[in-house]
Amino acid sequence: MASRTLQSRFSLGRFVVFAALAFAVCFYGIPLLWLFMAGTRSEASLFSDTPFTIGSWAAFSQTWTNLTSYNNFQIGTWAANSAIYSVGGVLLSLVASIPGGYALALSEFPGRKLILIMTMIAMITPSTAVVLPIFLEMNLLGLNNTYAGLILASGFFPFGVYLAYVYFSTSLPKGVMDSARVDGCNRFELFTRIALPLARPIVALVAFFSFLAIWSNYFLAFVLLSDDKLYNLPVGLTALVSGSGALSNLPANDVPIKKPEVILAAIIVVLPVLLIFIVAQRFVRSGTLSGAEKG
Amino acid sequence: MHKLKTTTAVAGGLALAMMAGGALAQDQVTLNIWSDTPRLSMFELYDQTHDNVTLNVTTVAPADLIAKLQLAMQAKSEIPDVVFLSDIGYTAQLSTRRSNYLMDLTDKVPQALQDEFYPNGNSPCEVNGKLYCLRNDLAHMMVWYDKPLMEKLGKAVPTTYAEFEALGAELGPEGYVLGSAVEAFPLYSFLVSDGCDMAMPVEGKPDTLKIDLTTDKCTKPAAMVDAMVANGSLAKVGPFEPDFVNLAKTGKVPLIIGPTWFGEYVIKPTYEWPEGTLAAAMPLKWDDQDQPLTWSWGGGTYGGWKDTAHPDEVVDVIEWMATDVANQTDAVTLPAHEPSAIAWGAKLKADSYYADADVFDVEVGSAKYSHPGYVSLRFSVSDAIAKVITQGMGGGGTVLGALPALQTELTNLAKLNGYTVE
Repeated sequence: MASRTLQSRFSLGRFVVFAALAFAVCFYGIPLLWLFMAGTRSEASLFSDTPFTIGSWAAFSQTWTNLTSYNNFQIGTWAANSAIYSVGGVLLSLVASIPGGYALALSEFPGRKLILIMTMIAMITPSTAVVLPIFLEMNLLGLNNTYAGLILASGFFPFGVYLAYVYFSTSLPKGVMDSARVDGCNRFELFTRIALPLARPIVALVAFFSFLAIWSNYFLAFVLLSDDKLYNLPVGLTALVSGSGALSNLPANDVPIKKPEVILAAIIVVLPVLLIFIVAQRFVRSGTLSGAEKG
Repeated sequence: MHKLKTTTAVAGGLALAMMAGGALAQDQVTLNIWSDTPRLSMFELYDQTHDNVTLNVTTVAPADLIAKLQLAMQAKSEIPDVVFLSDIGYTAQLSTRRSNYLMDLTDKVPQALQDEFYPNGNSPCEVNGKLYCLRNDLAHMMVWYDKPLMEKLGKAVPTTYAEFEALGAELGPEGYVLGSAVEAFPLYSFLVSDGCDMAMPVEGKPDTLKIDLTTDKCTKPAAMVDAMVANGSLAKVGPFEPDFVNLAKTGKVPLIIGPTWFGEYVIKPTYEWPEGTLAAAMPLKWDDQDQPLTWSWGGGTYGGWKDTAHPDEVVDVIEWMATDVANQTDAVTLPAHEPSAIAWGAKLKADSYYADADVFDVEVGSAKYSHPGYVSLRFSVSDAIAKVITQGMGGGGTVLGALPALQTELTNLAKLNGYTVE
């Protein structure tokens, strides 16, 4: 009996599964591990030492000083801009997508199917394909190079509408809605008092994905913004890295932005997403499972 | 009557004051500037030293400049009045019918000032005989060497490519390298060093390029590179890659051909050669040449918007940035403007890091050998070299064997970009 239990524990299938998982952890985890370790190393160490050498506090401190002292801490302005665009864009996308998904899921009205299809099409259309029309539209409205312009463009999040639609059409208990209706709730109250409190996981999930998309958005910000005081982190850091020649073969300048600073900049862009994911993972997990089981 | 006179006089005085105020207001000009990061302090200095002009400086990633300019021109807003062009190809790309941005400076910059630049210094700014920008810095290739190591090895610094190849044949098998064969620009520099017609403009014929890689002037340098790769004296890794850097740090690179900025910005900080080691020598020449013909690797330029509302101020900014001696004295790289370069060179002459005090003299002495074919094109020859030759070498191919494919690639690129090919 005991040997059979042991045999089942160490079966070939389990071995293959764990081997595949270990491979995936190494394959995807090692570059990230290298990134975080390399952020502590000097330029000389990056060239000479083995890839997974841990740097020194002095090297990290110097890199941090070089990056943050550039142009009167301009990176701080870019980080603040990124936060403004992200918060504004997330709020706008939530305001648009959660009621939109709710209406599409629980209401019958002419054109509902067409809107659903349009949402799907907008979802699968590459964002780069619509950037130029958005640029021309914003230019017409005089919103290029403004916070409002990028927030308005970022608030367009059809994936959020679709997620909300799936959630409300599968996970909202019909009985609770009927009871509320019998108790005298109108449509607006049904949404605000019943559906919305129950939809916290999907609100968190949409907010998370929307934040992820806006925080790391390069192309839209690149096209809509030409004033470097309004850049977000991805565009600002790209301008800084490209201009300093840190990664190209034209390093002929005294700008103290070299490879360690570029690595630290990459960590700065990734870190908020990582922290928000860790904080929000309970909601994200429950949100991703919503609608998986009907009833 | 008296009252009327007084009133008229007061009104006239007010009108004059208003006109004067208006004139003053008109004198105050704001220009939009697009700069890269290293040039920011220079533009800021202009802003501080010119009361009548305010510069609104924006940092733009050099690689994104063309795309951003095209967007701004499409939107007809936020178009910069002055731009720093970090890639010499941008001049040609921004003076086409579709991307017609650059101002023609031919008659706007006095000929006397143009003559103060080193020979061919402004070649990257000339498109079809017109001057569209002013060059900020020179970047021609020269010989950099480890003086104590060369002395220890008992070798003389080569002055010709034949001597360079012979040195490689002696030192390569012993594990020494004399440069890289796979980085596009050094390879480009070798291939055109004897006057190979590798997409060279034809004088007097607008938008016409000569592309002929079948001549001895092309095959000879190609064969030299192949021989040096075979004996190991030219590395199959780029000069910025860790493997090459480790060779340079461990005394295995006695000599390398590199641009003027290589000493200060690559050998000193990255190869970390000790003080009193690095020396420079004139560019190499082929036996059939009377004097060297040296290619360049970099060198930015300043250009202006042809439809700017303030053309005089734009020209002034461009001239000041490229030729103001006080400004260029603190520039990071060798100024293309000769009087500025002489002032700039004082600190290099006093730098005890170099083994010899003549590094600056070598830099400016070799400037007159700059290749006249280092011009702005609407396509990148170095990208074509990287695509055809470098990738081919990775698969065991040779430079000589790749020349026909490179000829085809360059011809296609030239035609696609509207050039007539001879």
